[in-house]
Amino acid sequence: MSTDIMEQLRGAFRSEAWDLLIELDSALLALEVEPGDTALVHRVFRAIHTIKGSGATAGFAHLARFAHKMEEAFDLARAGSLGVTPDLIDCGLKACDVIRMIVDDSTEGTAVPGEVEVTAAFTRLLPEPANPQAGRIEEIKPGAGAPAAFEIVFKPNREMFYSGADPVTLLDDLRELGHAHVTAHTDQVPPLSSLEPEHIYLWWEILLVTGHSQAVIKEVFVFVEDECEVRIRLREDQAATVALLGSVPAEAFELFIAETQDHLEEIEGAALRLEGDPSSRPNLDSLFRAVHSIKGNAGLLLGHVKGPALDTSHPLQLLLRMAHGLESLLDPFRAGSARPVPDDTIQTALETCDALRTLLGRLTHGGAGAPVSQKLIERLGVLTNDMPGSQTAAGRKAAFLNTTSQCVEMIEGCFRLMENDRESTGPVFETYLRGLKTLSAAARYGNCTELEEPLAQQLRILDAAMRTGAGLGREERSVLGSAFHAARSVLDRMSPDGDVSPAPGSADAVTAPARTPEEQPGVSSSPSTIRIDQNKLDRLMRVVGELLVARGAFPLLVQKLNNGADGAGMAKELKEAGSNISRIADELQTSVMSIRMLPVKTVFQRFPRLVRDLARSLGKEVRLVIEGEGIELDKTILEQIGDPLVHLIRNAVDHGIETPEERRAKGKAAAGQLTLRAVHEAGGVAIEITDDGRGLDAAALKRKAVETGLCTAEAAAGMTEQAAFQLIFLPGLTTAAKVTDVSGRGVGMDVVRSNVRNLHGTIEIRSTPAHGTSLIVKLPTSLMVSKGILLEAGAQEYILPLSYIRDMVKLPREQAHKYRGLTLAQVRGTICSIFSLAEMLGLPTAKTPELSVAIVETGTVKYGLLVDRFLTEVEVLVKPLAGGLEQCKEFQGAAIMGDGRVVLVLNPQECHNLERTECS
Amino acid sequence: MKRIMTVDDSSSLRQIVSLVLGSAGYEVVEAVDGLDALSKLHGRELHLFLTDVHMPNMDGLELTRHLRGMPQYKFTPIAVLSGSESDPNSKQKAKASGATAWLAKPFNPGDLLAVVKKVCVDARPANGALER
Repeated sequence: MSTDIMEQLRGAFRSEAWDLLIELDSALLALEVEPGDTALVHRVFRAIHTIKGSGATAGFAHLARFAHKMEEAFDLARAGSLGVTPDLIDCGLKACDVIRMIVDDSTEGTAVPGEVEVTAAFTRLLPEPANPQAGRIEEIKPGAGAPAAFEIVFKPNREMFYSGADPVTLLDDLRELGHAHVTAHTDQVPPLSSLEPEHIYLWWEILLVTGHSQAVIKEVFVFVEDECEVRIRLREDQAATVALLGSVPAEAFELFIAETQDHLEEIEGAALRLEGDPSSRPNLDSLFRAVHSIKGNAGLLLGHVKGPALDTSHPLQLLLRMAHGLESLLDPFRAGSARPVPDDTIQTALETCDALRTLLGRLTHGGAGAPVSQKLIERLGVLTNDMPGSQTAAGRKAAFLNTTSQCVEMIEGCFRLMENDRESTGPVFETYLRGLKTLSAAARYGNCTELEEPLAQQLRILDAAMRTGAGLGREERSVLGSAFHAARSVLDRMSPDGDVSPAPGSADAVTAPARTPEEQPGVSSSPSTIRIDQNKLDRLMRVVGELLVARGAFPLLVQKLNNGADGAGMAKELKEAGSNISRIADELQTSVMSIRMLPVKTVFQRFPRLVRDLARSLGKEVRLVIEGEGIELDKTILEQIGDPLVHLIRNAVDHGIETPEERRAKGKAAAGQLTLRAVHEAGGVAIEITDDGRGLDAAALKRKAVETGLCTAEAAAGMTEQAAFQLIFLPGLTTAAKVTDVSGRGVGMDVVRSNVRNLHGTIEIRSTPAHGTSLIVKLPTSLMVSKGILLEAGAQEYILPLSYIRDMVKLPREQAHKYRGLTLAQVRGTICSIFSLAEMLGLPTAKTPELSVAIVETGTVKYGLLVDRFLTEVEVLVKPLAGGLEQCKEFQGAAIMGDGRVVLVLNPQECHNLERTECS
Repeated sequence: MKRIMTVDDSSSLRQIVSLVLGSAGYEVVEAVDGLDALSKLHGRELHLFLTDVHMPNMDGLELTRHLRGMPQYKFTPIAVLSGSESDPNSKQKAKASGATAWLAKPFNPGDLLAVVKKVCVDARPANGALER
């Protein structure tokens, strides 16, 4: 605690203490007149109690010690065991004076005149010697002692949640004490039908290696001691457990347990299958590999153990040896010709599997289980000195290198197979994949981060290839090869202690060739994953397959051309092949886009709760209707639209919908209706938030805007209703009569609008007083690909996104009129102002007899954009501007056309702003 | 950010709690007694209540019973700051009314933070949306 805060605390206490002393004085004086008034005794007690408690907390220890006597006296008086005598009151009044002096005195700690006398007087009044500070739990010092291994059984009472306690925080506290391995037991969980959701059915066993004492562990449970059963005991195999858990990183241990469990399942499954088909090579292989992985992982884990070697009877040692034994037992059947595995070997494998499971249980918790059968150990031929791994640094390295070099060999074999047989698929890939997986597990144990990327890259390629069942293309194979080489070069550079020497210059380029520098606009840099509907992936793969087939047409065409085929016929064939490819490209685009698309439901589903809680806290009744949940939007957009929608909903409930009384008075149903609707619209999606509340009051908005100086009175007077509604987007404007917890501080709507704009979307407001408000958020379905109109202005080509275009017209030049520097024209019955794009961008304007105008609407503005001519509708991939061009707000980005030209994509909102700044 | 309500009739104690918890990154809501605390809930999410026992209007134990009866707060940790007055059953009484933890006054800032950290449960995402 800094002295600064301490001084603040003392200051805060002083000012309160003066008030309390006045209260104390007056209560004591009143008590002198009415000694029998117990309410007055309570007042005195509370005041002195507060002085003591707050004083001590604020650092006035001396004061607290002094006040304690008086508090005790009045506590007894309160209980009736000490009479309210003139002596007591006299003492109390004198004590007030002393307290006042102590509080005022800046030199805390020195004795104050009268202090000793008053203390003595109180002591005389009190029946027996006071016992200050009784019952305080003695301070427990963080243990610096030697680590010990504890086994903790923690069974909370079913109703523990009702006291506000949470077992998770307790487990976290235990984890903070040292290395904890937590095993949750689910055996008490009843069937769903009789499950009480607010009860706890789980119980835990925790293996804790800590330097703290048992008392410190008990302290973790101090608040729940009556609500749970906690048994803490020291483990029997102290040294071994401490050695293992004290030096192995927690994650490595958890990973080992989890993976070994998986491998054991695999062993069991493979052994059983092998029983049915004793000469099945794949089953034998997977059995062998699982055993091998357990052995390798156990060896790596042992390699971490520092200090004295683990006893040979330690579960981990046994686990390693037994896995090794089983491996040796199985190995002969793999060599040479397929020899059926005899029943008794399978039996041994199954028994070993059970034994390994018991050992694993013993590692994680005290799980007793039968001791490993000596017979089994004999049958496996496990001898104490037959150890494949030891825990010296060299042993650790050996275990690591042993595992990795086996994997490398395995993968190299796969490459050779692939080289010989280009169509090779299934089995080869599977072997490759297994090698990779073991290798990545080893890399994780060895903390070898450099290996991760090249391994992950290979995994990705293989995964994709295996899913399609098609072979690897040449390019894929070369990427795979270079990633493998990158991984191998990391392994080759591994020094004996497991460190990796820095890579020679070019290695980086090899390890991460698939990274592209720029991602989509607006995506945060953190990696994100996506869950994809299997059908969508299948469709994508089918299209890719078609593409491969279509590609085959071209070599044929080349051949025909070389053979001197006739021009006209070739042109026709080429056109056919081209259109086939373009159809596939379209389909490919749709498929890939659809992968990024998620239903709006993912965002909408949290709103019912939000609306319910909001309505409750505001004392309103609101019925939420959700429509169009199935409509899909790009994942990036969905992730970023959540917050703005929350805001809009909050506003609708808080400001839009009236209280039930108000609604009844207006003749509406007591419950307001809030509709959240997603609909497809003009190349995008519109999300409407509609309430049937009081609606926006344009006049009030204008008044408020003028009051807060956001616009001038003249400007407000000339404002249309729509323009007035737009005022809600200005920062600092609120029409809420009072600021509630929910909203009304006038912040947020501007943020909402800028968020929506960042997504290239717009917000529209429709409102009818007394009938409700609709906010319509229009969003593009994807940030990547957008449809637009290619147009020409000032001899340059631009793209105007389709989502902003409401209308496109050609007007005779004489229909446009100049008025105060503005060009106005009547378009389909409404007057609209027209700006020339070329002029806005400072380009020469063309004189055409007719005006080509696009009516553009951005949610806030609607205007006519005059261009030289419209060319065609295009579909383009919009890339954000970079490299200093970001400031050119009038462009959303740039797109590359089919012929390689780069065309800028307009942002009509910013173009309009550009025009306005130029005018002013 | 975690939000804690401190309920105490002593303004300096409230200030102390606010200062200590505020500088540790918690948001603190102050209330002067049980009734005031209930009126300041507004249905919002709180991650912990720190309440004194002796207070006018509604004392800490009664406040605890009230909170435990409200669906939103029935699982919220409540730490009772009890004075060291000579009631040996104060812990039991606090526990019986539904308190999660207790801390004897006087306490030093370190004690307070330790107890807060011990019982303050992480914000649940479902309600987190409300706070943005």
